[in-house]
Amino acid sequence: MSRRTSFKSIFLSLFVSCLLVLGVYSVFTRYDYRQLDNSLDNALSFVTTRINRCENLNTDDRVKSLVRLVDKSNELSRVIKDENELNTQFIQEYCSNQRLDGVFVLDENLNTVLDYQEVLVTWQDMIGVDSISNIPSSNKNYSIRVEQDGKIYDFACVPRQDATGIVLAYKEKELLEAIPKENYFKYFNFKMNGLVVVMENDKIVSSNETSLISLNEKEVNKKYGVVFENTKQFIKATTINGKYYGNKYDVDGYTIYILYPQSQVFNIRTMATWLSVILIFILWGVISMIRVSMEREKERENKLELQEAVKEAQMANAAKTNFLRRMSHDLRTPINGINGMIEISRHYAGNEEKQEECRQKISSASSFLLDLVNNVLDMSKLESGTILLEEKSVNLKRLIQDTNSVLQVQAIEKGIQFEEHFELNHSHVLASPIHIRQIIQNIESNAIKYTQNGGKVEAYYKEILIDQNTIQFEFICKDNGIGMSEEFQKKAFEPFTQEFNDARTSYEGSGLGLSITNELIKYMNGDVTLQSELNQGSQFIVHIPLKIDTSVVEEELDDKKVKTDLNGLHILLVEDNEMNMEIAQFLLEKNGAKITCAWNGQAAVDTFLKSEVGTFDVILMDIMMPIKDGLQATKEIRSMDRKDAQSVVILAMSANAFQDDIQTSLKAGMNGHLSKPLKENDLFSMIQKNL
Amino acid sequence: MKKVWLLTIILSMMSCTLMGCQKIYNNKTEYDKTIVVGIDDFSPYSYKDENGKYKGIDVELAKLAFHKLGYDVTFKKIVWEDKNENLDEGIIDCIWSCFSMNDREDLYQWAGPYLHSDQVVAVKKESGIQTLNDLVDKRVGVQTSTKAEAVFLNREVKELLCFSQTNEVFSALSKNYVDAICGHQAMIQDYVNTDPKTYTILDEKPYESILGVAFKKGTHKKLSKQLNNELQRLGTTGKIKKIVEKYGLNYDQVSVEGEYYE
Repeated sequence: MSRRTSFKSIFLSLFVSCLLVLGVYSVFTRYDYRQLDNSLDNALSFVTTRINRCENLNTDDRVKSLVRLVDKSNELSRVIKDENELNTQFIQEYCSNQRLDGVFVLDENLNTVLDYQEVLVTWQDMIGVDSISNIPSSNKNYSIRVEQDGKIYDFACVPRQDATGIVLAYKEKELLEAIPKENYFKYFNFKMNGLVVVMENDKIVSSNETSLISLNEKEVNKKYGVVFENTKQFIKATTINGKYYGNKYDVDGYTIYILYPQSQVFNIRTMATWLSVILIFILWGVISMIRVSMEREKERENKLELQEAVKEAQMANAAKTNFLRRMSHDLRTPINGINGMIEISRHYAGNEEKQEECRQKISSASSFLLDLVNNVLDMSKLESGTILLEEKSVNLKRLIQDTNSVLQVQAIEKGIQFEEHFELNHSHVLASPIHIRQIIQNIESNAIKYTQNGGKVEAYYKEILIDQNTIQFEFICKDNGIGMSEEFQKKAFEPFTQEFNDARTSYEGSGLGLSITNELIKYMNGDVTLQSELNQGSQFIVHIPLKIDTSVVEEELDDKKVKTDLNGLHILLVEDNEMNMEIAQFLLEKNGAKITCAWNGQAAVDTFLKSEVGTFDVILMDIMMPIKDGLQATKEIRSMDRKDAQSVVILAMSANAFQDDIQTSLKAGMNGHLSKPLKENDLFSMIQKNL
Repeated sequence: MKKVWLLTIILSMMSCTLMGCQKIYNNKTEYDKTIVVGIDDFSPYSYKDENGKYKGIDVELAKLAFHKLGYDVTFKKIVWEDKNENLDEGIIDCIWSCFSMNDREDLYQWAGPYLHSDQVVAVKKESGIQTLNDLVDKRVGVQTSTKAEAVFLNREVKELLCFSQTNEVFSALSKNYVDAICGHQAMIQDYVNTDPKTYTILDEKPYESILGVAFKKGTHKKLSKQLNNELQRLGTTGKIKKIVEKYGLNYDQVSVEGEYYE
């Protein structure tokens, strides 16, 4: 990985990791806030319930005290009336007995008639006149607890029974409440170390933190450096002891603060965030380890691939060297043979017999050379996958018979019996005739080659119906020749393999035939099997799936003979090679044709242009020529504005006879394609077909 | 790079839009004048919730009515017994806290009535008290300076115990220092609901009062009239009903519609 890519991926990883951590932080912050909200609700509920309970207890205690005082006051009022004891001494004694701290006896205008004050009070300021002004001559009993100057007083005011007025009694109390406010939450431990502060009139009256009680807001701020801040949902208090989160409530006259330390509030968030960081580190570690492992594995694989490639390259190089060595030998051998024969024929000039012998051997050598070149080219195309199979309507029986016609001659010459057996039901199939011919030819010629005089070669041609559109073409070739060893059978289909080395010293083949046959069969999705026994013979079984051509009408004449009479035909022969020109001219003139020669494409175009309409019947056009090639010349002729431009038959002559070459010729406007060297039958058959 | 810029622009536009919405949301209506309403802690008419906000039937009616009249409202908790002094001294502009108009018609400049408020009597079920006549030889507890006190000052009972705080009244009943207590229906109903198995309210009501808003006598004549009309409008348009029912009262029992206005 390049430095830039590595830096990018690190940056991306960091970015994603940060996002993840932030995400976790955010999610758990919300979670903690929700938990805080719940905790506050629960705490508030508890606090208010506790306050109410304590207050109720205090109220009950207060009311008890007040009602008792009212009862004592009523009792005093009754005694004053019944005993006529309206004197200070009596009042004093009564107070002492009843533990009262003072009594005022008032008239209807609330003026003091008599009083005793163990504890001095100014009742008018403490309880107000309005509250009791309607007591005289009514049934109202009024009681109240008052706090003044840090002291607590219970007052009771009841109607006088001896006259119109009020008996007012009071008592100084030690404790304001049964449960002092400061004790409401003393020693209470709230969840999450919560802090509860209850304030009344700007003073802390209760808290679970006792050091805060009795302090007012200023004192608290000064002592603890409290700074409040309102967030959306809560309040945040920053103190010298840390930060707190919570809320403030007003309940029943109290201001209640419930606060939790930040560390407790965001406990889960902190844990989750750290956990996510740790997990990310672990993940990084794991990913790094996996990556390193994968890279090592890849490195190892690359190394293996490299070794494999080196091995293949070495093998290919060896194969190339081997091939070149073989080719060198195989090419030189027939060429030497040809040169040799020419020398011999010169030497025996005049000796017709010797001349004929030399010509035959030259012909044999040149055929071998041509076959070798074709085979090598075929092999190359097969290996590169550039073979183009035709799919055209083929009369399979006729194709086989045509192929066998040559082989039969070979067989007869060798004294071998050649038999062909047909079991074909369909006359036409869709196939590539050249390649079918090549397969049959290679296998049968091998059989003939490796069978001795007096031997027999049998060829069976059969079709097995697969479905209504497809047949399996079965071709069996049996001979009783020399056979093959078991060892050789294993590599029979490999290129350049021949069991007997003497084949390399005579023109008996290049060792490519079977491998080409095997590749072709595979190309056609078929298969080939070989059974052989040394000195007993061999059997090849070939299967090739072929489509049935259902559109063709059965042909009438199978045995139509090719006409060789060219009398009356004027042929424009276009060829740049003298020898080829001479050969072709000889062939054509021998059969009665009139020939005009042109030595290149431009000459052909000019000749045709200058001629009168209908002068030429056929143009035989070489393809590879200087100045103008045959394809261009054909295009130009076809585009001429004259009657015979379209109708004149133009046939290509080319050493290249592959399918794509044929297609190129036809596309250029030619009527057919002949491969060199020209064969008479092919030539005449093509001419006849197009005229 | 172009995509990053485009994203930045879009995000900025969204932020601006959101800020704009926030600004609109924060915009409150400004009032020219402010009125200070004196209230007591008297649920469900006027009280503070746990967040320190004033809530209650009278609080919500006050806000509705005064805002309509172009006034901003400030609520001030007062000592009930000092209500008249606070009014006289201008500490508050009006009293609006379940305040009865009955027998006080000439004492204040009124707006109202806007609702009924009955005085009811609560007893312990075990006491056997069923009518007001049964209270003749009983001790009755009330809060001082309330209508309940005034009602029972004129009724024959054994003793009338007057306490300065409402919770003292309830405590007196729960501890059997009194045999019955009297007060505003809403307040008494709240208390009885805390323990309906123990307490009950007598069917017979000693007093029916009408509630109003009290300004200092001779002042705020125009405003009191405007407020009166506005309260009637709120009644006829169903707003008062909605508020009353929100706080758990039966509107039919407390409505003055048809009785004092159509």
